[in-house]
Amino acid sequence: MPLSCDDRLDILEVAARYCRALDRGDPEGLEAVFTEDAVWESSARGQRRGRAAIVDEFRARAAQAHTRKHWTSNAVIEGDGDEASLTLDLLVLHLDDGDVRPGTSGVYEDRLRRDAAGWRIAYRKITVDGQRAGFRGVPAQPAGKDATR
Amino acid sequence: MPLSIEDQLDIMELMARYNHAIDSSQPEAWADTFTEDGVFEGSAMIVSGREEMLAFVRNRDQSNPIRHWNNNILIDGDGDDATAKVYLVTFDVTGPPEVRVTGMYHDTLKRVDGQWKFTHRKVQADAS
Repeated sequence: MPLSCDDRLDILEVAARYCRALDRGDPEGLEAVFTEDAVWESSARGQRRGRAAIVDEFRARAAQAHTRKHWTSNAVIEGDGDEASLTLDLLVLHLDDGDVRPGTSGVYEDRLRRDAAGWRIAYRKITVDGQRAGFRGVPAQPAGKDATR
Repeated sequence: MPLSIEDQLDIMELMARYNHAIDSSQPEAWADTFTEDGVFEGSAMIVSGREEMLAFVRNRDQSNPIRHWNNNILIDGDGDDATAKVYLVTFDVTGPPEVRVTGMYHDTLKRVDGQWKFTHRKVQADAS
């Protein structure tokens, strides 16, 4: 059965809740958007398997909360029944000392699954621009700068 | 008949597909977002019809990777016709993203064989 408008809007909101949880340093909020067996994979930080490992990854970076703003655009959703894929462009604004600048860009490629708890992310792959096959090989960040947040 | 929520989501997704296609330099995918007789209009050029569209993407300067972003999408329409106004920002993402262009798209769209396509897309860069 093709995805309904409700499904598509719910999936967009799951993606928004992920950004909000990261930006607010809210582990429970982050937990709510992943399936228990979720896999999170970043071109800059490697792979985390399982919801607990993913939330731990971000808990360790809680000090960065409120200094990053995750923005997304260009959502393309495909799916059927209880399975969906989402492609989404990412821009991270860095907020440092009253200054706002675009810090990182990239793309999310996700698979989502619906169960009794609703739509959640089962797999999220983050490819940071500059580390992307086909893009010119210029480092995405100056040395020492965080590449995904 | 006013546009349904599904129509509006489909049109928003068409805009996303347009951006993905141009940013990854896929001529067919980009041309597919327009009708066969579609027109793309910039400040100094007009690209009209499928052949010109394919050539436009193939000949585009690809020296730096760019991402197109949209926001504040306003859609009006009725039946199989629609118009849209959309904010545009492009980023050079060779390194940390840098804003290149800001502006607005003015679109007219038509539903053809159940799929929304641009019949005319005009990009207007903000005065710089």
